[in-house]
Amino acid sequence: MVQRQWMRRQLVLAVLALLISLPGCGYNRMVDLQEQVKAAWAQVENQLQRRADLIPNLVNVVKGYAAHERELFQHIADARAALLGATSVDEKIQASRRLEAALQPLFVMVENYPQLKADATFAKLMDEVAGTENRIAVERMRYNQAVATYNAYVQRIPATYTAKIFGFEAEKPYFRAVEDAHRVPQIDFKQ
Amino acid sequence: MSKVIWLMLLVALPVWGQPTLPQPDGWVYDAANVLDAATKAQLNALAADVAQQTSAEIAVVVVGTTAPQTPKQYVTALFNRWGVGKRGADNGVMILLAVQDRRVEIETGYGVEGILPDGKVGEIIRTAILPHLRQQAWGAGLVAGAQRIAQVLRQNSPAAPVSTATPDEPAFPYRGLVIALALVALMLLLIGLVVRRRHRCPKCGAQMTRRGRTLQTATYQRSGLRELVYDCPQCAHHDVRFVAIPPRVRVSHRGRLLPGGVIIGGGGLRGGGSFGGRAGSGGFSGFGGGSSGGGGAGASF
Repeated sequence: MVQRQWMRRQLVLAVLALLISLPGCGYNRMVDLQEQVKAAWAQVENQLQRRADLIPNLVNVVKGYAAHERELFQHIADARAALLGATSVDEKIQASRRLEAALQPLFVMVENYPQLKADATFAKLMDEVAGTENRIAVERMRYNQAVATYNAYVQRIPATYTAKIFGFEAEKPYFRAVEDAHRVPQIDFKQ
Repeated sequence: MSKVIWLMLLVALPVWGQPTLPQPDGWVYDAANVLDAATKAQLNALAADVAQQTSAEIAVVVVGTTAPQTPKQYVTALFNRWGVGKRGADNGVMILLAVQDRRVEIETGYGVEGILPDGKVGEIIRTAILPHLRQQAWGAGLVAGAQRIAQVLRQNSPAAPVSTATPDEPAFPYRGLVIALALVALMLLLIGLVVRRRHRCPKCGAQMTRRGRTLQTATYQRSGLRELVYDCPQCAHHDVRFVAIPPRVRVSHRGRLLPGGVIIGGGGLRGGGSFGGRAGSGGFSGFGGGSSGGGGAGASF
């Protein structure tokens, strides 16, 4: 009887110790940081979607002046479809980089078509595209900051143990821009 | 000696790593010193007028160069550091002219992206601003651009001055504190349950009555002593315990618990980045805490 009571008390104390120690192990902070990464990623996705929505309009205007560049348009269409079909964060990052690489020749090509550059619709679309690239750059930076904070926290003691027990990712993927392609497309409208 | 230098380098590094951003001193900030007083006054008056009529905020910034950042990175960073536009409404616009970089950038806050889409901003730059800038008429270009933007902002806002109350409340700042308090409350509850078990009679398990008596009151300097007498109503079990009372604590005016009667003078609040209404700057009283995410347009000239 007395022993059972003693055991019960030990159990209560153990539960109490666990409850007290959980915040100390960084569980709550890890949840917060993970939510911040998710929120930042949602912002990135919004802008990727915005870019994907803009591309058909842009391609249509360019086609009016340079219809023969079929291969280029096909590459862009494929890359855009791949981005829209991607599901995981990793896939989306890869697809987005592929689309950036596919778009780059388009902006270079445009320089050869003075009439296209003089088109007011095209100029406005290019503003939208450039603005979207800027927004992606900003949201990507904010996402990477959130990932850096999360990764640095999860890989340190004691959070690293808590992360293993509760199945938190030990490392979230960074979103790096394609080298050379991270520059916002610049079309020279001076003439 | 070289150790000292290395140490100084280490201390200085974080400062180098982060490009310094200026503090606002009005609606117009001219670090390149290319605007005359009349132009500055005109821009200030325009921005003050728009702010009063629509609550939207226009910031005009002139610098020499934004290096090492690109002009766009710089304008986005500065927009969010200053917080142009009202918090929550995010209805700010920042016009940046980087004279040596030969670049103009207009950054739109999240809340005005709808009425000032990038294409529209680009059109304003091309038609109103660039012709002046190509002739090095910096002031005229900025005034023309600001006027076009002011026009759009005025057309798309209610006639009556918008209340300064923000539609979205800023994130609840005491969330951590509430969670901590809830945890403490939970722990106290559990401890209470454990302690309560002690009050059951060890012989028959019935709830015992408890009478407390303070033998010595606690002061700020020493702990007190309390006597607790337990009686079982069923089997007349009798138990006496002595409990120490912790020394009293004073709560400072900053809400921190301080033992032993020590009161630490609280430091002043950190600068909030807003200014009192300054004479001559067109009623500028600090920006409203708006944010942006890279929207807008830019052009080289």
